[in-house]
Amino acid sequence: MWNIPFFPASSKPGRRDLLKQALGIGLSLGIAGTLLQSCETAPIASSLNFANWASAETATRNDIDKVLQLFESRNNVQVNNIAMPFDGVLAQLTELIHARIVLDVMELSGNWPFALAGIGALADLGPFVTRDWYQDSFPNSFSVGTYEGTLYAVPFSITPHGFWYNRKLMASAGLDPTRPPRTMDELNQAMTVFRAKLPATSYPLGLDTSVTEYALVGFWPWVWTFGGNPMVDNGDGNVSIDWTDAGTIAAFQWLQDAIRARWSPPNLAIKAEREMMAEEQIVFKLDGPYLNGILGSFNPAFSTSQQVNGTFSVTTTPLGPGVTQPVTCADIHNLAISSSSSNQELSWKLIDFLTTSREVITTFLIPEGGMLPYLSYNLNPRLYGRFYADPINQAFINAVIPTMRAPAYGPRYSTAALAIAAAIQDVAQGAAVKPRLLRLTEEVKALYA
Amino acid sequence: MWQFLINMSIARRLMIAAAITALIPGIVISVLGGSYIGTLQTINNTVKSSNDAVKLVTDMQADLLRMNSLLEVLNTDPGSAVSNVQNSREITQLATNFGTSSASYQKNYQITTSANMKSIRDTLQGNTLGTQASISQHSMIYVVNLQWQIYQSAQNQVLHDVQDQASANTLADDVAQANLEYLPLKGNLDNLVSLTESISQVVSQINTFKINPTLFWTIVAFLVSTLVVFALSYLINLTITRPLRRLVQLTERIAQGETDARAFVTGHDETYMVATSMNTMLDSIARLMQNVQHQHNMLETRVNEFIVEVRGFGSGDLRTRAEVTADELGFLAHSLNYALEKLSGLIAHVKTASNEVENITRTTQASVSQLVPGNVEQMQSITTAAEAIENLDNATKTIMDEVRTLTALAQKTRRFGQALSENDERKRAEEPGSFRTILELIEQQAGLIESIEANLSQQILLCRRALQSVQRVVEGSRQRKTCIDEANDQVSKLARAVGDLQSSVSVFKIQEDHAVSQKLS
Repeated sequence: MWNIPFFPASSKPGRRDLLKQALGIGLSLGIAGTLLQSCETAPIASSLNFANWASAETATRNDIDKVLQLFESRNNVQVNNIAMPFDGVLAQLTELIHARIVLDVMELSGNWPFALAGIGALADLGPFVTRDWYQDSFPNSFSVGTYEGTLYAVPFSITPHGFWYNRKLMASAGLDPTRPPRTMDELNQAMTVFRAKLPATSYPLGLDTSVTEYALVGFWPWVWTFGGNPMVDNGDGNVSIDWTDAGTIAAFQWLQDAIRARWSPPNLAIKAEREMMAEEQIVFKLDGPYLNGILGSFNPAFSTSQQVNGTFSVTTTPLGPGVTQPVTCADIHNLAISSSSSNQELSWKLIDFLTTSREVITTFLIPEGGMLPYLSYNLNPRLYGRFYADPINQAFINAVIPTMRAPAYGPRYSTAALAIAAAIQDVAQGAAVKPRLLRLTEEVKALYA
Repeated sequence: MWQFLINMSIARRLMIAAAITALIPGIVISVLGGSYIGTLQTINNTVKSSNDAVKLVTDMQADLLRMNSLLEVLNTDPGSAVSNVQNSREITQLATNFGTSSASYQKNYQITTSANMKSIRDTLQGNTLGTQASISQHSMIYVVNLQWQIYQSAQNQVLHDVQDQASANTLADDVAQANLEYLPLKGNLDNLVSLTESISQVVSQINTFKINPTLFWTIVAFLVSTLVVFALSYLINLTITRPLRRLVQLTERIAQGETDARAFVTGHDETYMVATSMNTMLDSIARLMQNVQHQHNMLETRVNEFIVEVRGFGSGDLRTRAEVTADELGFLAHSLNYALEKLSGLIAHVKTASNEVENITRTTQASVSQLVPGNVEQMQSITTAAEAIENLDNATKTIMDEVRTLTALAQKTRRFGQALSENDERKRAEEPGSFRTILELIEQQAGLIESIEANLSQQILLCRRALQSVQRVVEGSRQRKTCIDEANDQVSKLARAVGDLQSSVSVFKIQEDHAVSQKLS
């Protein structure tokens, strides 16, 4: 006889039997529904806006895209890679922040952490950073991200300016390529020699006289080496401003003289000067460690670090009359999180990935040319020390970075920097030094008032 | 409610259950079908909007690429003046298109603000990725517009350089600056394209999810429908099957002898009516059984009394009579009494005849013994003996007839007894002593009668043989002594047979009036 499952013929179906059967059907269908649901792919959990200039530059765009895609796939998130031209980063960031566009993670440089922290746009990163990192970092590398005692930006790439020199050109000029200029006098003498021997299209020294904030990064070492100290942070948030001190005037006068003597090309921005450096049309230049890669992008003859080291060397800024120790500007590429980011944990995860991930370090940071934010990464051969074993990088690590000095960074510094750069350009173009610096002092004081 | 339900007729109950079972899937199909069609319309709208957005932003991407490539070929060579003008016009046209497209994209396809994107906005609402995509799109649109303005300024500067025939260095610097602005703009526009495509994919994905509620509710509806069907089945089980099962159990209990059991069914439906009828029927059956039991008891008493009454019959006392009552045993008693009456009469006849035969036999013996001395006397005696034998033969025949009648009566009585025993087999089983006793008595009497019949038959045979011998003596020869001796032997045998007959008949005790009447007759 056929036995229908839900209606057994042998015995009467009890209440429990009915409930069991109903429950069984319910469970079966529930499981089927759950299985159907589970067949769907897991949706992306969140997204981040990452504003940076690496994506705006041809040389680094592909590399940063690769590592970001890696982060996206590993963390099931979407990263909106917002590219900004380096010179326009602060202005565009400021405008976007005012428009309430949330930029979760930002790549910053120089004074920008102070400028943005001053308008409350950055989140406190203190809770995220471990003590280990503080202990395993270059001296002062966290100081340029700390505003009023709060850490707003962490180092991403340590890129202070060192004194680059072309050994081949020195040798061809009859100078000892193993003994670069150690003082301003030696530099001036060397430039005199070069000017006499170099063709008109080549220059002994590259000085950035564009009206950009970054131009000032390259000029601060000259000011300081002449003993100038035009802007001093008193430590209480107040800045003493005097662009007419003797050292500053001497530095500006030296600039004007160098342009006049055609030691340096007039009205050239740093990009053009780097191109000339790559073409071996400039002998000396203050620039960051990333120049190593940039030279290769302009000239295939320098496409490898070995090739660059074969021609160029790096040392500290020549000593001027006002200092006993070489000095350079603490130029560090930082990473910061927006204070309005709704997902600061995830944002920090991206920062942690960008600063510690092997893929980022080997794919982006090392090719970019800066020093890695963890000191041991640069020194330990088992880590990435072998990538930094060449003379240029060793010079940066052992000689240049210890001479880093932070300018009087602050919320108004970036605005003041443009006024200062304009003054540099004016002086380079022949403006009377002292009057122009007096005016500059007034302009800057007005900005800080 | 419950009372109302169980008072409702089964047919109506089943009809309502069937109607509910059919109605619920109908409603479910209508509602889910309507919802599904609405979902499909929304999906179509969102897919169209997202596709349009992708197309527009892709056009912007193409315009930007073309603009920048045209910008890079601008130069200060006097021979390129015409192409510079054409390229400048095209750049201006492309810039206008780009600006229009950018504004159009922001107006029509920005998820957070555009009316066109309401369906997508609604689709993405509550979805984490959708919310993130909306925010990202808003950010990217703002960044692209901001950088487009910066790039356009740089582009215009280049166009002015060409128009103003600026120096080659100035043009190169301005083109380089435009290029610096172009790269991030292009990157962000690429991101916007990817994001728009991503939103389109998200919309497709969410559209897939949108079907899920319909699927979910279909499953829920199926479950609910199943539960309703189960509930209806349970109600039917509770209100129809269970009462019927109780009735089945009731019949089983009654079959097992539990006659006190009665059906208990609530409500006023058909089952209740059946139960009520069954209860009434059971009451009647119980009464009938009580009556039967009473009659059985009475009959048993009567049988016992009957046995006591006819107990002497077994020992041959034919004077005994059973009491004739009005019940079933009355006929049996009457038949038995009648048989006894007849038997008594017959026995009396047999006794009388046997006495006469005895006398005749003695006479015959005496006569036969006297045959030897004298022939005449002998002949006369033989003739007398022959006559006596003939008389005996006649008498014996008469007795034989009576005995046959008695035998028939005895057989009839036996059959009656057998029929009675078969009809009341159960009673006989319950009360084996009484009936067995009666039947044994009847059997005994029938046996006696058959024995008498056999004796009589033998007697008749002997009489006939004696008569034949005598006749042979009378008719044939008077001289043969041998024949006389033979006759004498036959007579002697006859005398012994008569003696046997008398001893057999003497067992029976009959009333004196019978014997007297027989003698008289």
